[in-house]
Amino acid sequence: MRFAHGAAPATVCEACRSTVMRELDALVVAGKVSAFSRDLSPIQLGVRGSVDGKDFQVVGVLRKAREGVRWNEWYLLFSDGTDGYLGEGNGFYQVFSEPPQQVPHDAAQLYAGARATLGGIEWTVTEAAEARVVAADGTLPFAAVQDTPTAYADLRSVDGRRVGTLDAVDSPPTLWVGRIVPLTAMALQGLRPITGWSDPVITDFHGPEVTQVRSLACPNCGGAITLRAPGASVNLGCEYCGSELGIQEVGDKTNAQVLEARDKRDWKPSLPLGQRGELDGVQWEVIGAMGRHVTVDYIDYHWTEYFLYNPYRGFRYLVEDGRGHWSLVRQLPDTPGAASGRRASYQGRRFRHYTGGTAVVNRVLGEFSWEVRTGDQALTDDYVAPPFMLSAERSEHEITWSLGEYRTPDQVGDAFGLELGRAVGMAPHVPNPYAEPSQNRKAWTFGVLLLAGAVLLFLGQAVTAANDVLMSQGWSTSAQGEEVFLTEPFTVPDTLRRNLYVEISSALSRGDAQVHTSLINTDNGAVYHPIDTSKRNKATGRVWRATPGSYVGRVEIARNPSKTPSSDLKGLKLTVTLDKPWRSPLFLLFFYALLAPLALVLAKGAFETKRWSESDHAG
Amino acid sequence: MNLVTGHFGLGLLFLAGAGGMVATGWTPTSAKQETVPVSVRDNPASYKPSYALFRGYHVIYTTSGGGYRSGK
Repeated sequence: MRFAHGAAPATVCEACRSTVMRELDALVVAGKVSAFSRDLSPIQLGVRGSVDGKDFQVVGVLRKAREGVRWNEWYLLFSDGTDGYLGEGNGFYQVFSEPPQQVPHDAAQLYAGARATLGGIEWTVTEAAEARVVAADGTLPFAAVQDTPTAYADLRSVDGRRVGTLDAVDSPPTLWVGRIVPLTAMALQGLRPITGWSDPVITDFHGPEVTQVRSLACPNCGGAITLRAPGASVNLGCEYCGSELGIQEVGDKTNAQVLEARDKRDWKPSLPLGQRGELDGVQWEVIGAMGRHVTVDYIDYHWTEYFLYNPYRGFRYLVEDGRGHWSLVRQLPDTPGAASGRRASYQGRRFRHYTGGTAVVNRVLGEFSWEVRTGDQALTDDYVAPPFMLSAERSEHEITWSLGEYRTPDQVGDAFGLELGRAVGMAPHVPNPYAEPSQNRKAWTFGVLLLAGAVLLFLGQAVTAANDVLMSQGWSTSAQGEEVFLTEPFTVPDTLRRNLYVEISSALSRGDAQVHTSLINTDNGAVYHPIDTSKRNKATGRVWRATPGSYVGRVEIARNPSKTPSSDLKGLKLTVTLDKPWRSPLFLLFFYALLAPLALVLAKGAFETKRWSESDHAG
Repeated sequence: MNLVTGHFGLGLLFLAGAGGMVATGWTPTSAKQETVPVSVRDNPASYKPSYALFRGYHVIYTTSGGGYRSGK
């Protein structure tokens, strides 16, 4: 037996399990306490680490419990001589490294959901209850005796950045202020190796491997149940008979008691219990599955939540909706900002409210770290910023936030080595395939390049085109009789570009007469009719690759027989230009250049319209 | 190759084609054309167009004289 810290008031004798405390110069036995089982955590006495710029060593542990919840409090000795705690519960690790302060407050006034300003910080009470000590080891901050009740309140700062514990053992109560830190961020050395598990970041282990799996028999059907997270599970759905069981720790043993008996399990979720898979480089094991539904307009919408466990990383969830879409979800240690009405924000990302309702648990299988029973209800709200979804669950005493990221069935299937069904329809946070930034950038870049090419072509043509007027001749006519006008001869040279731009402009209206235009090659007899004046008497046309040679223009006036035009003379002019710049295809190219980016914009908008048509805010 | 890249490739083809057409004056289409005999070539005033060749044209007049005028 030893005191790892000179100022520590108590320690546990490993031999007789007595809690020994210092009283003046004497050692006094305060009582007995159960041993802390080795398979309940990867942390063990002697582990070293670093947090908030201070090195520490784990010198003791308290395991506490209240109705439906169990957690560990690792007693830390820092290199600067101060002490603190590492709280371990529900997959989160909370470090309390700041010196505690005594705050005059009536702890009895605290209840879940209450607000209080303690130690200069505004807090929301997340939990207020009485816990008891169920196990202890090593050097302790107080004389912990088995089942010693301690009143406490768990706090979360209003800004979401800090956690707190108000310990009401003393009077006035002691406030511990800390923050949530991942296990992988504490540079831990000497962790307990757990059989079958490894981690890409945590590689320094000490001592023999521990198998973190316990077997117990279902008290209803006798089936051999495998408890895969013995330190965390408080609830279990029997994989054989489907009965709902409560998990209790009695000393070093685990017992199960029937909460609701069933005859048979009639549910087979897509991911079986015990299946392991790797997601984002971390291995996870499916230890539980829960079926839930919400009812909207008398229609039940079902989904399944898979509870994933890794002893070094805590918990995650995989959510499979009724259409085969998946999300990888983690519970948030802090509170999103500005979550009200239709908007929420978290870590710089803005979310829009998609749907809300009352989620009802309809099936339970495997282990859970909180009490979950068939029929449990929670008010839910989902906010989306694809591919992410921010979800809030409100029960009677608390609000829990979680963040999900969309995963395809292929991604989940590949991770777990399973063939999963295809996803159909829309998920609220499925990524918009037309909003992918690199694709949009590419479309606009290509569009701009094509546009630039068209502009260069336009300018090049304007500079190099001959734009030569070969012939321009005019007449006056009253169109009272049919007339034919011939131009002076003109020559089309034998050049590379021999396109002729022919323009007829006439003051005659279609009611007066119709004007027909021809170009006659007097060398080879070719006659071109470049202009269609079926709609009006003022028009243009082109002759491409006109045969070089001598030409005469012919203009014929065909009078409307049902109308006699006035005797006023009206002008008529025929112009033939060689190699006039041709702009039509370039305008087509301008439009084509923008086709892809504009199509993406339209497709993106259509996709979003479809997404939101299924939300609570459709129309 | 995805649609965006395909669209760009097609656009480059269009650009190249348009550039070639602008440079050479070549197009796949040409104005309506017919060929007339030597007699008409020598006397363009005697040319009588065949209106069946022309989309949208229709004879709306009857020949009742008139004549040919040339020059301005």
